[in-house]
Amino acid sequence: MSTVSSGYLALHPSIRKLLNPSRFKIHRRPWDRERVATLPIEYQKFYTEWMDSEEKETPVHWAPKEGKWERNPETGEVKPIQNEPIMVNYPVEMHEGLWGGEGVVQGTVKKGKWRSPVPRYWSPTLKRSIIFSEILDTYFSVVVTERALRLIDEHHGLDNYLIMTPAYDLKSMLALKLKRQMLMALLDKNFCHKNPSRQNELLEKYKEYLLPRAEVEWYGLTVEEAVAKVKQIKEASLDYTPLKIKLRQELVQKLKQERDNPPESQPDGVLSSTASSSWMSKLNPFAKSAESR
Amino acid sequence: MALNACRRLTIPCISSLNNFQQVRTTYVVKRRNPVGLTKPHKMASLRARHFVYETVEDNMGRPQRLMKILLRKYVEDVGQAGEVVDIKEQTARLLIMTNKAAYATQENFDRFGQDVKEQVTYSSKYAVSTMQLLSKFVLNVSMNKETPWTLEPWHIRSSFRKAKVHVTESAITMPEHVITGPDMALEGKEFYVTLTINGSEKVTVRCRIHHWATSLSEKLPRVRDHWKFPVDPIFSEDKKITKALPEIIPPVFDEDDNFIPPVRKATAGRK
Repeated sequence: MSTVSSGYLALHPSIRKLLNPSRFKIHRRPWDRERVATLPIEYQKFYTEWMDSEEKETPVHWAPKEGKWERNPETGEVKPIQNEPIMVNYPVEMHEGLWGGEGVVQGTVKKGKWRSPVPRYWSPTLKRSIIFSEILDTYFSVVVTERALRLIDEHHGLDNYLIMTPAYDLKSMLALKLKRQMLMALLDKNFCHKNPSRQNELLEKYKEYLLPRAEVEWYGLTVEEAVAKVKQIKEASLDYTPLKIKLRQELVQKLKQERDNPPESQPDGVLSSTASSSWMSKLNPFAKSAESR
Repeated sequence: MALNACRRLTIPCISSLNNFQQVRTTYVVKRRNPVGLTKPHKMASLRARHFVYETVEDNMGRPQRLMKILLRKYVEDVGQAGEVVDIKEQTARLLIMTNKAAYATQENFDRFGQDVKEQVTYSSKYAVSTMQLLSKFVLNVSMNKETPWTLEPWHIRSSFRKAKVHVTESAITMPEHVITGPDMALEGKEFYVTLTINGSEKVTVRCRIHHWATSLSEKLPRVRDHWKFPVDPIFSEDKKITKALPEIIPPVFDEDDNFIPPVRKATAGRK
């Protein structure tokens, strides 16, 4: 939960840095933060966009007040408007569907003036529907909400919706995986093979939303997957072959070379150049140095 | 853009009560007790009273919104190819999924404009469904049992009117042979007339002659659900036309005269 302090005295960033960050924000998954810090910068960028940009999120279950200041109609007193967001829980099932940013709101309701508040959950209405992606050329049967379908309609298609919407609004892992596949397909030009003119049209259309390849490779991964990927890359780069095998191969190669190109037989009495450069010659203090020769 | 979309969702929209169909949308809640002001370097201190919410937007009854789509093909009762129509969201989505329509955008106009021009057009959006309805239709032509008559287009027109179908006489094409009566050999037998819809589409309709008398003693006995059973045509050369029309499948009854519903063929999607 973060305080959107619009219209109120904004704290200077340099002062903000000095203070404990937990003063301003409760992080959603604190146990992930240490692990994410060890991962590549590309993944950190994606994770920040996905989990750490609560201030940019589109309010779904609450309507923020607009404007900076508010006047009390009775007293004429002016006060700043501070929108305190309503907390939304995102269950695991959200990642298997497209909920359009909806989640479960947990709170209480007061059913009468003299009655104590009782718990209530506001959960979205889910239904199974079919959606189509032009880039992936596939029909998907997924669990959606009415809001997600409307968002798809407003963007004129699933591809537009996923590519144009940032990760903090998509939220669901399924949506992010699909987006990742689409971005990859756009980078590789691996779509619309039958219709090249359409392919060019789409490439032109999504030009500004394309990410560099390094970022796409780390886009739409969970922290566990990213950690596993780092481990995999590290293990692939390590060479575990024993030293004896390496040395043996080197020796065999050397011997083969000698067998194929034997040294030319030299006449007797003439010292070979190799003999002169032996280590014994270096020891002889009376021998002429290479320069004086 | 997305924020505007959210705001649009929260605006109550009842376009017409005829189209009122329940749709469940997003819940919107608000705090019953507003949170006090916080200093910039602190988080809001939330108490139990701040988690008492009130529902602003309920997800109960809400009319389905209309959506603009560009039709890529002729769709029955919706419109012609190339037309931009306002229809309910769910129908629109179905049409888009089945490639019969596309979102009404400039991009889609440019993309499908050429295909749309090459499509077959009908005189009206209801033409095909009217043709389907009339081809399954069995028209009862009641003629006098005592006074002699020759069948004329106005007989057919008035018979159609009794069946709540309004036809002009110019739209009716009579059979080649002249039918005269009263003749009990014609009773309950079929002949065929052709209707022209909006001067372009043609449909063949089954007509059955029934002899009618005023006095109770002269009246013919009632035949139960006669239109549900196939009968022979008056003219034997009309059998070709019978084959071309949709088949009449007679109902099946058991020993106690109870109706046995026909067994439906399993569709591909169902299990």
